Amino acid sequence: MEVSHQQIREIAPDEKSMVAANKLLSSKLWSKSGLSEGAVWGICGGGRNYQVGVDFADMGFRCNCPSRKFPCKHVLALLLLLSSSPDIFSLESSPDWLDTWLEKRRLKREQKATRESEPAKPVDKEAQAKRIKSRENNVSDGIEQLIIWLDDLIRSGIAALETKPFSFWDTQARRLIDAQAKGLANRVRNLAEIPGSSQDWSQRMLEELGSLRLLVQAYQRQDTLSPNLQAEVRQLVGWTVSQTELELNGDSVTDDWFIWGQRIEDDERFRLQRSWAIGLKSEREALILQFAPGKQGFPEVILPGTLQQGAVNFYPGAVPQRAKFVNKENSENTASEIPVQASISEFLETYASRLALNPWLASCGCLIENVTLSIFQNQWWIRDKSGAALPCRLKHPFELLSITEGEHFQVHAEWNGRFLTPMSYLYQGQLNLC
Amino acid sequence: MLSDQLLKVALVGTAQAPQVPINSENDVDSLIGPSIELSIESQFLLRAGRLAIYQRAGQLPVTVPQVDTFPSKERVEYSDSFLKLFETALTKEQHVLLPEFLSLLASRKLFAPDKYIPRLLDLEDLTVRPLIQAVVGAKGEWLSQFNPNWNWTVSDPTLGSSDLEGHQGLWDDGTFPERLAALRAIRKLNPELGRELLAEVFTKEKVENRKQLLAAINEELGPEDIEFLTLCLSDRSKYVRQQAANLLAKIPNSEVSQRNRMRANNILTQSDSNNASKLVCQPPQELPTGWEEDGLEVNPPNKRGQRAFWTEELISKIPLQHWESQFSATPVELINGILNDDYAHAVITGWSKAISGKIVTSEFQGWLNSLWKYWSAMLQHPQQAVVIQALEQLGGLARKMSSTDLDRQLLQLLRDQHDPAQLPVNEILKWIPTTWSKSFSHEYLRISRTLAGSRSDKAVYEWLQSTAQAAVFLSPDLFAAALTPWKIRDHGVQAWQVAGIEILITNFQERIQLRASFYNEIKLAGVD
Repeated sequence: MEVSHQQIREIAPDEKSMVAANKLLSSKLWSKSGLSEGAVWGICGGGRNYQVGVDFADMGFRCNCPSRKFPCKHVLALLLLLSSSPDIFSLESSPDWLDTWLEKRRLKREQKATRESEPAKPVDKEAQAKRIKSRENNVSDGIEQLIIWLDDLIRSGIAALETKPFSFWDTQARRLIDAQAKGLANRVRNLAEIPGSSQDWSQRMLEELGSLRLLVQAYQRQDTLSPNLQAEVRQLVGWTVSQTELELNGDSVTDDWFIWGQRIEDDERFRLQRSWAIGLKSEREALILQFAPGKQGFPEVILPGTLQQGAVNFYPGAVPQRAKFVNKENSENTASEIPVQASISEFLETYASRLALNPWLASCGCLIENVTLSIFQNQWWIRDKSGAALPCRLKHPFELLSITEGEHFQVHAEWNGRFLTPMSYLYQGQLNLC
Repeated sequence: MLSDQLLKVALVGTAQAPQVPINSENDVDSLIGPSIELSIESQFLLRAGRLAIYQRAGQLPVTVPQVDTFPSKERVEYSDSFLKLFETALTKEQHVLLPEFLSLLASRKLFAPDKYIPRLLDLEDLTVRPLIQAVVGAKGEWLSQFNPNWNWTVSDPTLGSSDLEGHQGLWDDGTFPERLAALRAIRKLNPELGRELLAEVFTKEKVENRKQLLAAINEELGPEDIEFLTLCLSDRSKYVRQQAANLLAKIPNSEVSQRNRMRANNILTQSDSNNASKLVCQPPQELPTGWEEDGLEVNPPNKRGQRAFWTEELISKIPLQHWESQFSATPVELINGILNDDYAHAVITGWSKAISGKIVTSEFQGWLNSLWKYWSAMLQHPQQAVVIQALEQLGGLARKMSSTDLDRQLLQLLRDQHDPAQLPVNEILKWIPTTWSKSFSHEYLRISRTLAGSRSDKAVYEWLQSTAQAAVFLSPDLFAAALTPWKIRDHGVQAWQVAGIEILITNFQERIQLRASFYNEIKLAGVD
C-alpha cells in the first residue's frame, strides 16, 4: 500500500507529533519490521520496544506506548518509513502479537456487520413519542424567544453590534442549547465573529440574520415543506438522524469515492473533520463529518487523495450532501477520471439550482478543469479559460503559483457562497494537496 | 449586494429608519405576500434573507486577467526523499543546514524544488540571500513580480557594480542607507570622486550620519584624503573628530600618523641599541597633550590600568612594518623581545589590533603566525580574564587567515593540548564558518570519541556540546566515520550523565545522517 508524506501529515494529530515521528526514522531504532498485503509492523526500540502496527484494511493503528495521541508518533514514524524506505521491511510472516490484533479487528468487523444485519430491538414507541413531543415544545419555545431577540436586534440596528461583547451572543446561544436547538445555537454563536471582521461586515451580518430568520420561519411552517426540505430544516435546527434511521431511510450509494479534500476545525472541546468525496461513477458529492474529543484520533481514517471503494449512506435532505461510510476499503483503481465541470459559469448554475432546493446550503464542492491561479487587486482568484473568476483563499497561494507557473490545472475546492477554498489540485497528472 | 436601502435601515434600526417600500418589479419582493401576523422587524429580516439568497444564487463571476505564464519549461523532478530532506532543512530545528544544502544545489547548477521557492524567498536571513538567488533562478524573479517583498531577487540591470552613474543617482536621491552603500561603491570605483561628493555635502549632514559617512571612505585611503580629513578634525562632534583622526592615522604621510609614530617610538625602545632582542616599553605617566585630539582613546574601560591602555591604543595605530624597520627585527624577534617587559601584554595586544582592519597580505603572514602562537599559549593562562582576552584576539586573527592557514593552526592547537577538554572548543569552532577540512574533522572526531569513551567529567560534557557545531560543519568525507557507534564510558558514572552524553551524540548523528542523505540525493538528482 502506498501512502504519501502529505497524507501522513493529514492524519497526524498535530505538528509536534510529526516532529517527534521524524526523530524515530533511524532504521537502527526499528527491528523485526515486516510488510504483508494486509499490514505493516515493527518494534520501535530506544529502550522501550513498542509493538507498532497498521492494518491496511481500514487503516487501523496499534501501538502499546502510553501516549494518548492517536495516531502516536510511533505509528506515524512507521508510516513515514513505509513511505520513504519500503525496502527496510522484510516480507516475512507476521509476528503473533500482530496476528492476534488483526484477528481481533476482523472479528469486530464481522460482529458489527452481524449486528447491523440483525433486526433492531423493539422501541417503546409511547415513550419515544413523549420525548419527541417534549423536545418539539422546547424547540418551539426556544424559537419564539429567538424571534423576539432577533426583532429587538434589528429594531435597534446592527451598527451597534461592533461593540457588543461575546456574552451578548453566547447568552442567546445557551438559551437555544437549553431549548435543544443546537443547530440554531451554533448559528447564533457564529454571528459573533462577523462584526468588524471585514469592510462589508454589516452586509454579511444582515444576510446571516435574514437567513436565520428564514430558517426559523421554515421550521415553524415545516408541515408545508417537502419531506426532503423538512428533513434538511430539522437537521439545521438541531435534530439529529440516528444511526438506525440513517440505515433505514438513508440513500445508500456504492461507488469508488475519491476523497478530494479535507479540513479540520478545532473547537476547545472537540475537533471536527470535514472530508469531501465524489463518486466516480455516480458523480454524487459526499461530505463526511467526523468528531473527536480533544486530541484523540477520529473514529475512521479517511486519507485525502485516496480512492475508497464502498458504500455511503446519505443523510436525508433537500440537497443530500452529508454522508457516512457504511464500509470502505482502499480501491485498487486510480482516480483517473474525476467528474469535473468545464467552467465557472457551469458551476455557478449548479450552485444556483442547489440553493433553490436548499436556501441554507453552507458550502459545496467546486471541481473545475482548466483553471489558472490569478492575482488581481490584491486578491487571489481561480480563473477559468473564459476569464471568469471566483475569489479564493489559500494558505500558501505562492506555492500553488510556483508549481503551476500560471498554467492550467484542475481545482478541487470548497465554495461557501463567497470564496473558494482549494483543497487539492491535479497538475500534469499529479495530485497535490493544498 | 443587498440593496443599499435595506442596509441603511438595518444599520440604524427599524425603529428609527423609514420602511423600504416593497418593489413589485423586483423578483424577490414580488414573492412577498401579506404577513400581518409577523412583526415589522421579522418581515424586514425575512425580506433581507430572501434577497440575500436570491443574490447569492444569481451572482456572476468577475473577469480577471490571466497571469503571464512562466516562460521556461525545464523542470527537474526530485524524488520524494529529496523533497522531504529539503523540507526538513526549512524547519526551525534544522535550518542551520540550509546554507550547505543551497550551496550544494548551486554548485550543481540545480534549482530549488518549485514548491519550496516561496518559502525560501520569505526567509528573513539576509546572509543566505545570495545562495537563495542562485537556486531560485528565473522562477524566483518571475514570482517576485507578484510580491514586492521579493524584489531583491531581481538584480537591477541598470545598477551593476561598475555603474558609476547609477550609484551617483542613488547618492543624490536615495535614502540614507542607499546613499551610504552608493558612497562605498563610488569609493571603490573612483576614490577621488567619492571624497569630493562627500566633501560637498558633509557639513550639511546630520551628526549621526557624518560619522557613518566618514567610515564609508575607510577603504582606498590615500594622501589625497588628508586635506578633507584634516578639516574634519575641527568638526563640532567629538565622534566625527575621532573618526577623522582614526582615518588619518591610517594614512602613512599624514601629520596624525607621523605624530603617532613619534609617540610610539618614544615609548617602545630597545634597552640596548646593539641588542635587538630586548625591548622596553615606558608609557607616559600623565596623558600628554594632543593624544585625544589625534583620535586616541584615553579613557580605559572597566578597571584597566591607564598606562597599559594608552600603550595598547597607541601601538594599535602604528603600521606593523614600522617596527620591523625600526628595530630591524622579525615579528618573532619583536614579540620575544618584549615578552619580559611589564607592558608586554599591552604592546602585543596593540600589535594584534593593528592587524584588524588591514587586508592581510603575505607581508603580514609572519605577524599572524607569531601573534597566533602567543595568544594560543595565553589560553593556558591561570587567569580567566587573560584566557578570555586570548580567545578574543585569536578570533580576530582567525578572521584574517586564509582557510588553509586557519585549518593548519587549529589542528596544531588541538594536537598541542595535553588535555583537549580544557580548551574552550565551543568558542574556537565558531572561527570556522564553513565546512571543516578532512584533517581537522578527523582530529576532532578522534578527540571526541576518545574523551567520550574514557571520561565523563564536566569538561568532557562541555567538549561534547561542540558536537552540535560539528554536526553542521564536519567534512562530508567523515560522515561514515561519524555514524559508526560511539563507545561511552558508563561505569563509575551517574546514569543521568551518561544519558546526557547519549542525547548529544544521538542529535549529532541524526544531523550527520540528514546531511549524508542530502549529499546522496544531490548525486542522484538533476542533470549535469
